[in-house]
Amino acid sequence: MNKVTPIFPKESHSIQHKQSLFTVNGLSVHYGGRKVLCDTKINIISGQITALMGPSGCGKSTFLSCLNRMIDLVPSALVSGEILFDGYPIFSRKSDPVMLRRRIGMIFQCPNLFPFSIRENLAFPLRVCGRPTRENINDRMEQTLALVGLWVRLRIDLEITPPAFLVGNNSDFV
Amino acid sequence: MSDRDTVMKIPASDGQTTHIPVAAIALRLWISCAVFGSMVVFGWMGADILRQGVSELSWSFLIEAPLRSGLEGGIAPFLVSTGLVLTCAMVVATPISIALSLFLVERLSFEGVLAKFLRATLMLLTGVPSIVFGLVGASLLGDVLGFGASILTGGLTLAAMIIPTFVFAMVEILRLLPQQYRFAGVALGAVPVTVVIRVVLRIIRPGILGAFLLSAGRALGETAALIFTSGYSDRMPTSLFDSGRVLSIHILDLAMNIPGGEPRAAATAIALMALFLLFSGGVALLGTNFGVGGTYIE
Repeated sequence: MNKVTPIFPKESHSIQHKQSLFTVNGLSVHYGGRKVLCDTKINIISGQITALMGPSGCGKSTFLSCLNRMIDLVPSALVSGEILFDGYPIFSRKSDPVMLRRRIGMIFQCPNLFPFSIRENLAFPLRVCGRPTRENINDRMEQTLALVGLWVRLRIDLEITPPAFLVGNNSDFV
Repeated sequence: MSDRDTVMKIPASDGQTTHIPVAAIALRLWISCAVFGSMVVFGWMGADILRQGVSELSWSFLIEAPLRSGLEGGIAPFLVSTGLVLTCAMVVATPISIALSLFLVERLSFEGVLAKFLRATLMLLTGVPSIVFGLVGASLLGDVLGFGASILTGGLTLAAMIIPTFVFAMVEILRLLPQQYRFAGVALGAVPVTVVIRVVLRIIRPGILGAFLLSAGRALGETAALIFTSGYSDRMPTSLFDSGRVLSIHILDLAMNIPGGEPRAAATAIALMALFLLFSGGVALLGTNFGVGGTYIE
């Protein structure tokens, strides 16, 4: 491997500061006529692990899908209230949901890997977020897999193993 | 097995009694009859065509021009005309059908008014007899646009005829694709168009191939729509604006208008079926070589 570029830009070191990353004020969500979230308020602090707990169907996934505006993909969903991400209102007219989703990652309940090779799955977000060179993609892929301790296990199968054949938590990691 | 199921007691070899629901036996019987009946009917048809036409088949039959209205010579011009008409139809129909189906599924809400209207229109077009497409094609393309009775007119008419079939097959394939793939693409920061191009179209490539072959099969065997549009000429076509007789029309002509033409019609039918098998095999092989042969994983 030649030159390795850092995964996170230097600005992201601010993740260590105890500042509010998400500020949710009066968030309500309706699916059709059914109210799912009602006047939700929460501050999510950067650098901390925040867990949402509740019974099935209480709106945890709906709340999460509001944070990166995946809720926009549900035609019947009606969202009111305010979510500030780094102080910026994500539901404002000027906010670009595509750029927002590039900054706020999301892992689904079931692993949502494409039926392509692992390499193509890992390269997908890099490709759609810009036009990096093949070497750059490979470097980042190796760096990221090494970060989560999967590089040794997956480097041989990067091209040939369909993701569905991955067992256990490996799918989630990928 | 619920208590209310009607069961049939069948003695087993070890002295025990097996209880099988009557509905399951009826289903097995029905499927067996359908499979066996289809095999008998299609087998008999194939055997009859082979019996009549195999003696007429030869290399010269495939590469020579017809003589005495097709009673002698070969079918080379008809093979070329058929290939050109089919190519013309598929080149026009494939991109339009894929775009239409993507618009119907990816852009419109399935229950929306426009989507319902478009689906109803396509459904109506699927049911229109092909002879009507032939009449409209001959009048619109042949007379109004001045293409006359030509391979281009025939190809475009066939394209219009197979687009509804192609679109319906594609719509079903697109709707079967789990929504999770689209969500995953969007969640990774891709715009919807990128998700369609890089994910949806890539995953459903085997399905596109299937829809393509289904439509091509319909186009290849079409006769009525081509009678008025591609013409009857038995000369070798030199351009898309030439008139050319396709194989199915040649079969019709030999069987209906030429006394003693049945063996030649059967031989031409064998050539037509072989052409479709070659075409399907070629497309499937091409697809496999370009990585289309797989399927998506749930």
